[in-house]
Amino acid sequence: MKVLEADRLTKIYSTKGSSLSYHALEDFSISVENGEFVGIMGPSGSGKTTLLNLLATIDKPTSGRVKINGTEPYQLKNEELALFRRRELGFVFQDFNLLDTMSIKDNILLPLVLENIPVRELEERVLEVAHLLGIESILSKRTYEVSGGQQQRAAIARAMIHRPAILLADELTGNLDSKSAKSVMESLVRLNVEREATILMVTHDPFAASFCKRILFIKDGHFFSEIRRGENRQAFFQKILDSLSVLGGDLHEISPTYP
Amino acid sequence: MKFLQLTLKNLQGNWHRYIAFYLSSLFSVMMFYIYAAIIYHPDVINGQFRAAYFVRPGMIAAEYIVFIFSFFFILYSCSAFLKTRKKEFGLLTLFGFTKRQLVKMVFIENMVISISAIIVGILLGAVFSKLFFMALSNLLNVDSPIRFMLPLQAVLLTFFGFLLLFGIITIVMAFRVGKSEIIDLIREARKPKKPPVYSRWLVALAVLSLGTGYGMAAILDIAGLINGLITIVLVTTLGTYFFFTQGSIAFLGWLTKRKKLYYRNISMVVISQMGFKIKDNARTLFSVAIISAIILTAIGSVSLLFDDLKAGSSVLVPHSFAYLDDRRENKALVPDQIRGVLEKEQLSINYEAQVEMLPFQVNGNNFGVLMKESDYNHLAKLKERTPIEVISGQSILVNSGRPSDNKLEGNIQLQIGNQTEQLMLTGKIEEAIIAPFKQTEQVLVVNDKDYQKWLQTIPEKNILVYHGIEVDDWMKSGAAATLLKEQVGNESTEFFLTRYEIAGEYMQISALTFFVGFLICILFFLAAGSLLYFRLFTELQEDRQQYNMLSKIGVSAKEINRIVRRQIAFIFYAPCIVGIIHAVFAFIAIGTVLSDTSVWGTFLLVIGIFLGLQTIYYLIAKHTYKKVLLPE
Repeated sequence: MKVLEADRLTKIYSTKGSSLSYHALEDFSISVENGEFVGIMGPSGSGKTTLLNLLATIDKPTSGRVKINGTEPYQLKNEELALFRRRELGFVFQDFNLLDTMSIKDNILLPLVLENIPVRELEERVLEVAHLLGIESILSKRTYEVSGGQQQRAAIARAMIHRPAILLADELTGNLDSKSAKSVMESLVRLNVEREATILMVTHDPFAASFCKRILFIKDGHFFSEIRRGENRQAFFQKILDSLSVLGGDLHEISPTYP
Repeated sequence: MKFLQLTLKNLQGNWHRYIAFYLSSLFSVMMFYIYAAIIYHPDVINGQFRAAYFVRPGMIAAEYIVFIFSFFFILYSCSAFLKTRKKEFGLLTLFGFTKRQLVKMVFIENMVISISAIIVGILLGAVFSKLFFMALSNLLNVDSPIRFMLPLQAVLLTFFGFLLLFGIITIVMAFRVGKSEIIDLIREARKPKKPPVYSRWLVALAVLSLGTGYGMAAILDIAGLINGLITIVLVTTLGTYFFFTQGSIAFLGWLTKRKKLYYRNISMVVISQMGFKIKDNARTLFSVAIISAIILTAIGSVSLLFDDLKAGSSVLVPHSFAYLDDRRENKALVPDQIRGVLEKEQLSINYEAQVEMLPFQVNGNNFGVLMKESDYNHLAKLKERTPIEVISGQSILVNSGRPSDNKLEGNIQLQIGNQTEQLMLTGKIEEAIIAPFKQTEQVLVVNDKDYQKWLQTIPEKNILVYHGIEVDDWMKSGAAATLLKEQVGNESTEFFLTRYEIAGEYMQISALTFFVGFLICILFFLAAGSLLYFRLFTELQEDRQQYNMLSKIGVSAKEINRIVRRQIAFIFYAPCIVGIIHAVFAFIAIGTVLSDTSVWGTFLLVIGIFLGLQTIYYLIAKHTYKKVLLPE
């Protein structure tokens, strides 16, 4: 079953009253099956983040269609769109975006609390997801009392607790050291395998990307190439590096964290 | 470049940053000076303005509160201002500024700002007090306007008082700056917020202090209140401070534990953010609560005083213009003449009344007049008083409002014309029914039939006719009263009286006090509002980040609106409600002091207006904040 379908997405940024326009994304199509773990890679300015914003319904495309779990979010009104985002999508950001006014537990609970789920169910769900991500011990802590890796795993827990159709991640290892990055990626894989969570991740980092099952490369707003992972992650990592060098050799932009 | 020059250049270059701090200091000095100028105004001290003289102790108490308020207001503004500059200090330290130099710089900067704020504040205060007095004199149409003065004591008190205040604040600030590490200074902006904590002991102290203050205000008698006034004010202020810094956080902590309530929709976001907001804003909320209490109490008391006096004069002199026709040959004045003057002065007549009365003697002395029951009831009806009933042979004494040595009691022997009659005195009415002329000092109300019987026995020229004219707004009848007095001659109090000449001056002074209090309260109200407003916008950047994040994870615009609305409403109404509760207890105390006056009508009106104004402020703040925060 297709969870996400994007057809010929185009995003053009232009300034009012000026003929200057910038094509951030052109005729980009992608489709993601249920339970897939897809990575999107490309150099800076290639349109990765634009794509993610469009899929995340935070931004609107200039043309093209998006269908998530059978719904076309751009047909929805603002209010419905917010509800759609809250129920069908899960987000993980580079800078975690946890509210430091709340405990880790309350942060994770937020999507469910907004839906007025009964308290007992809240407690069960939070324990379940915390167990899966290995963060039970920090639930009562505040955001600044725990490490970056733990914060990111809490953010993943928040993104997953309401069982969204798809999890969207933006450079989620960007602010982490290699050890934390590894444990975060492993958590993500566990979610993908054990819960059959559908994940779409945008990243710079070949190491983080090597955990995906499939990677799409994007350059100057256009689809460039696609590779699939075999059995061996090490081999896949090498394949990613090769593809990146084909992509334009801007390897210096990439900060690989070696496995 | 010398160090001093560097500092001054820094001041000059960063002028836009200093302006908020400078303005708040200026504002405080100005307020303090205007109060001091009234307190030390010679006409107030020597009792020439009686009402102001009586209100003076209250003003002195208010002055203390203004000073304490200024301390927190300026301390707050100053620390908010220094916070925005921590990075700058960090850089300076990094480039080799020693801590000593840094402290010196902050000290010089603060002193330059403070001294100029004091001087400009006093000057502006003087200008405003001048304008203020002029406007008042104009408004009240007084012949001798309140003199514009620069009372030396007020200037000195303001100058040295604030010098001390700024000195303490500067030392506190310099100490704070000197204590910080470079890395803290540079990373200041990114420091995570510590969760709000509270101490049980301080919460208990807050409850205890508020309880003591409220209890004393509610229970004590007049003497106790006068002695305990300062204690009540201090204890309540202390209690309020800990209520906001500790109690509110304890309360929110308790709410967090009420899971059904906490884990419900946006409550979680609202409550958890509120804890941080209160922690950051506790001092602001405290100040605003105290200011609100002062505003309400001050306005309430002065309007009470005003109403009391107004009602009192209307009792003392029942009619605005009263004329006693004693049938003399050369009448100096006729009612037509009064009407003419009133028309000329554009005073509209509410009603006119005319009654005739019979003079009587006791022991051969002119003593007073007899009025028939129906006439009394006619006058009483016009003044909305209860009618009376008098049986034949009995009578009821109506006081003229003037203290009299002649006391009548029980059975009275009185001479009417040539006859001697017996009357049984059965009752007394304290509120005068006609103006207190000498001939009518005592009014005996008698049965209509008795009156008719005695009327026959008296020559017509001895009958007195009383004309009373009530105008709609007697407070404006000063000019008419003066004009008429000139026409009849100043020695004419035996047959022509005006309410204005008796109560007018007194009323003016109390009106003056009312306006003094009222305008200062408006200043206070604006200060309180701007504190909240200022506070709201210093946190805008931080809030924007949080709302952005919430919006990304699917919190709808409607829900964000609700969160924003609740938070702003809380910030604006919480201190206002605490202020109202304080004022309620203040009014209980005032009720004890003015035992025979009902205070609650006035008080409800004042609270209503206050809440209305606060709501306007809230709506403006909410609108502006949302416009900046959530541009559509």
